[in-house]
Amino acid sequence: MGENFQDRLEGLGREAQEAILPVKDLKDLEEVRVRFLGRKGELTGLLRSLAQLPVEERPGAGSLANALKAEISFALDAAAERLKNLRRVEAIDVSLPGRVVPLGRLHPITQVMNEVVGTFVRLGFEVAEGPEVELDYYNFEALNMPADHPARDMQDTFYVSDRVVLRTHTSPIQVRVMEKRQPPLRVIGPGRAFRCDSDVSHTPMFHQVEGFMVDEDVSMAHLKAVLSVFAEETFGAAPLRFRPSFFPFTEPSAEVDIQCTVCRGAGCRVCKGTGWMEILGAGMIDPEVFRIVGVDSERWSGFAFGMGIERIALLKYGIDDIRLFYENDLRFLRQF
Amino acid sequence: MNVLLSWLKDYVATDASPRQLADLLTMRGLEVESLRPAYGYLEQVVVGQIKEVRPLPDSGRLRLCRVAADQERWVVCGAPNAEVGQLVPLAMPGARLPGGRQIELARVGGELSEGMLCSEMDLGLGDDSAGLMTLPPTAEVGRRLDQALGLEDWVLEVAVTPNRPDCLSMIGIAREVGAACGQKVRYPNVRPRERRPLTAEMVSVFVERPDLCPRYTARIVRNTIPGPSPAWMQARLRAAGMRPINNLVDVTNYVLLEYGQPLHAFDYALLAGNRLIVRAATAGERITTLDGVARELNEEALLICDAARPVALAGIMGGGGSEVNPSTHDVVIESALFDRVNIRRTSKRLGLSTESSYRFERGVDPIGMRTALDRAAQLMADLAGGEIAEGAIDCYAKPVEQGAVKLRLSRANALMGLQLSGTQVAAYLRALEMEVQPAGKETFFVRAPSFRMDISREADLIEEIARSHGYGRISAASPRVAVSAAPTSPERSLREAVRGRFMSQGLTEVINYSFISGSAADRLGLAADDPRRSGVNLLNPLSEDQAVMRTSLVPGLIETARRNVFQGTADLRLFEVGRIFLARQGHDLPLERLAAGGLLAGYRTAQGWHGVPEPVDFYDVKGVVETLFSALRIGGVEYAPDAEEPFLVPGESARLLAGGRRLGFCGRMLEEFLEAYGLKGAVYLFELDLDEMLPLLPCQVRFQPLPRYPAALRDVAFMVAEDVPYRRIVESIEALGLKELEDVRLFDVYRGKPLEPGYKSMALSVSFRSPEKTLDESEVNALLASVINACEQKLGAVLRSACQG
Repeated sequence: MGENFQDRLEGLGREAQEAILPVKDLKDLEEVRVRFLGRKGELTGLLRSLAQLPVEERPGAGSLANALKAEISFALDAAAERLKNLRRVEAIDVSLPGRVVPLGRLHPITQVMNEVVGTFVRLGFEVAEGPEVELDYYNFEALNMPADHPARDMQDTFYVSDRVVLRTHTSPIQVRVMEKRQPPLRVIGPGRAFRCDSDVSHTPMFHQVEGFMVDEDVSMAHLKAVLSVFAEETFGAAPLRFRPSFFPFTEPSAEVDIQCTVCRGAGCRVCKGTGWMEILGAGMIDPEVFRIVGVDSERWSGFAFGMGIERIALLKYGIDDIRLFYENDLRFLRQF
Repeated sequence: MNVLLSWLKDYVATDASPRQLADLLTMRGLEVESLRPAYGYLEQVVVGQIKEVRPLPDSGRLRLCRVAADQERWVVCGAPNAEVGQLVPLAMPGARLPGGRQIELARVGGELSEGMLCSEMDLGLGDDSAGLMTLPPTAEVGRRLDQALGLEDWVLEVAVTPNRPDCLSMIGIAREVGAACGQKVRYPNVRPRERRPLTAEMVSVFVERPDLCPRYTARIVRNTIPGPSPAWMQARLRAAGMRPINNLVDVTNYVLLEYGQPLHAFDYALLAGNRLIVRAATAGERITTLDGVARELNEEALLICDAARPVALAGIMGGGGSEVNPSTHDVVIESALFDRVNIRRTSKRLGLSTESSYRFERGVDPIGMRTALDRAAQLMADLAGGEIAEGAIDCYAKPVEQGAVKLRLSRANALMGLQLSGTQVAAYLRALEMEVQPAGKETFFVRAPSFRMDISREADLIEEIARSHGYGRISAASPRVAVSAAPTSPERSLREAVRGRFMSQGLTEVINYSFISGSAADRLGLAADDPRRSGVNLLNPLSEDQAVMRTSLVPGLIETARRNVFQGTADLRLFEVGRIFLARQGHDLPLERLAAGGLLAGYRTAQGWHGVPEPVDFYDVKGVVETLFSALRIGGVEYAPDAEEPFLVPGESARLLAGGRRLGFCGRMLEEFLEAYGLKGAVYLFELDLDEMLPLLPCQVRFQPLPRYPAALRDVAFMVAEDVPYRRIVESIEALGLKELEDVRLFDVYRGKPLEPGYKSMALSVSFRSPEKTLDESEVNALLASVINACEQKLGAVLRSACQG
């Protein structure tokens, strides 16, 4: 094959490449195509000159020329594609709103509830539930609140009959579980509860999460550790404060405060100047409760705690009126 | 319990600041809910200087004073000692004085009076009411009076838990402060000076029911002179939230606050027969209590009676006609101990809760009550000039014995997670006035003082130790537990899955109250025998709208829709997941079923540039539940026409059936029912019984091999009569049992020319596939022919076209 022919092919290839690269629109690109591949184009001309080569060199040279033709063709197509894309981008207004699938929301109480329950499930607690319309026995008596006990005043109760109430807390779950199963137990009991009370900070229906752990040698130190994990997961690193309180079903009993998330302990309107906000009640399960459900309090000990989900949601989101949760105004619900 | 700081300091020495004291009490379990300045009521009272005094014609001794304060004010004044240059307290308009008097701009004797010049008594600062209070010359004109006089005191509002009735008293609070600060309590020096005659000669007491009145003590103070009590006592009572009445009544209230022992004072002269009888009421017996209300009693109520009639409702309130009054000479003071439950029951039944009943139902000190009696007698003698008769009545048949409680140090430490020594523990308990007897190295016998009725078990003592040591000093320690996989609940998983599926379809979750209006069933037009009429009624609902436990989620959803439409949100996609309650014969508790409901209204998509918004219709609501079933892999759900719900449009609703179970309904709400809620337009609802769906959930998903040969698609269009539902076409095709039939999908429904009225065209895409080979043209045509034939034969369908899909 003549060196001359091959050099010319290679030269032509380079020229084509250099011609294609700077092209800015399809019209110019067409000109490049005509220049190289058109009927009077340079490559076409070169192909015609094949006839002047010696016969034995023609097939080799021919296939080289055809390969170059394919190569240039391909480069032209790729450039065209690129230019078309460029044009498309220029053609649409990407700032127009996209086509979205309308998004639903979970109620903020459901979200907080799932978060709290999720934390304890990760700690190895199992979930138990109980009836919302409950026997007085489970709601009060078995929790060491016999009839005519002043502690019943702490909870304004909705009655269905003498023996049946709307549960005023989720603590009956504790009794129902322990009645059926012996320790060790680690249980979390989420659910609705009811009290006849209605104002800026109370709704007649609300949500609680009850939790308890019964095992050998469970102590208040353990209660503190578990609740600290919960508080950290829920509120971030804010200090907790345990102070003595009273619940008929725990002894010792504690009220647990978290350092005010608004003022960080300095004292503000939200925490009534104390720097602390009450988030839950807790304590060591009272031996009387163990006796009632048939668990040996000499062998087993346990802690229990209960928290209001609304209160946690109020603090988390900075909501100032609890009634908003149950007005179900979509302008409210869509914020979460 | 409102605790006035200066009063508290009568009983315990402390240098703690009010804030520190509040924190200290809170951290011992006596939560201080608020801390406020005791002289806050003087906020609108300032130091004024009289600049000019003018007589007011024809108005007796009234004069008009020009007073310099924050500005010059003209004030009408009746005090005889008003003089130019004098510094006096000026209550400005807006001030509220201790007696409850509100100062306003007023016209007196024809002149505008811009406030009031006050005496000591007006301000609760002293007993002098004769003339204006004279302020020291150093008082700065215009300054707040409390600041000018350096008055500072605080009121701590303490929330006392039901187990600590001993802390419903100043002394009780002082004991806690003392224990915390290592100070002994300074009890009042109670030594009544008695004089003949003997109390027992003047009055006799007979307790008929010692079970309901374990102890009854009484004293008599003779020759009292009723009148206002001294300013300091009035101020203390007011700070505690009580209204001063006269020195006799005030003493009983003062001692109630001091010792926590409720007392009652009778006028001796008004007691018939000089005797008191403690007995149960007879059913229907009546007593008019001090508040003037005639109350009918049952046989459970306990009465204090004289020889003729009931004179007090024991432990709750005195009776009218026997109480001390401005002309009382001789006073009988009662200090008694009544049965807690009995007092509580009567108080609840009568809806009458008093400072007295509140304490009795929580428990009073069976020993301290005797001291409180002596204290009251002594104060009456001191303040009302009386003489105390010799001796006291004391009916105490069976003295209360408080046993010793065994305490194991190891147990206490184990429960708290602490390592306290025996010495430490004993010191904590002794500081609370407990007797601690060591018995061996690690055991103690502990006897609580009589006022600590909440201590009867080891656990109670452990709480005292933990409280004294401070909960804050217990370090957190991670429990060591055996690993175990907590079981999961299918019900809970389903509930969460359902929530997620609805949310992903653009529905927003709402949570409605579990109770609804008693008229909700009527508003939905439910039949008389509809089980949803067997709701659980509340005996004490907050309102008629929250009187019955819901038997369906529909009323709550519609109510939510109404509220949102009212707020201007008309495009609604809502759902709720929650329990419904169905009463059951022969069961105390209702059946609680987990339900999921939803509501769609308005436009499917928001107004936007992509296209014209379209209103939601039946197929939106059906699509929501279809998508749910598909996501949960519940197959074979049948949508039977007419939900048979009185509140739904029969022709635009469906019953949802699967595996012989009724899963729920979906459909359009009848407009006449919407009107009852003030709504109009098209509202679509669904409600599902999740408990019914639980058994339908597949437990395991099995892999299906991917097809190896291509499917052949054919589109066919039939003309069928209007009354032929799509479901029947599918059923007719499926009935052929063609194993190559893969899928039938409806892609168009058409009505109008050239079709006759009463007919519609349904265009289907049918796909055939064999797992063994590629179907050839003739095989596909044969399959399609049998499909066409089935529709023609069974449904009278007329083929309009058939082509390759």
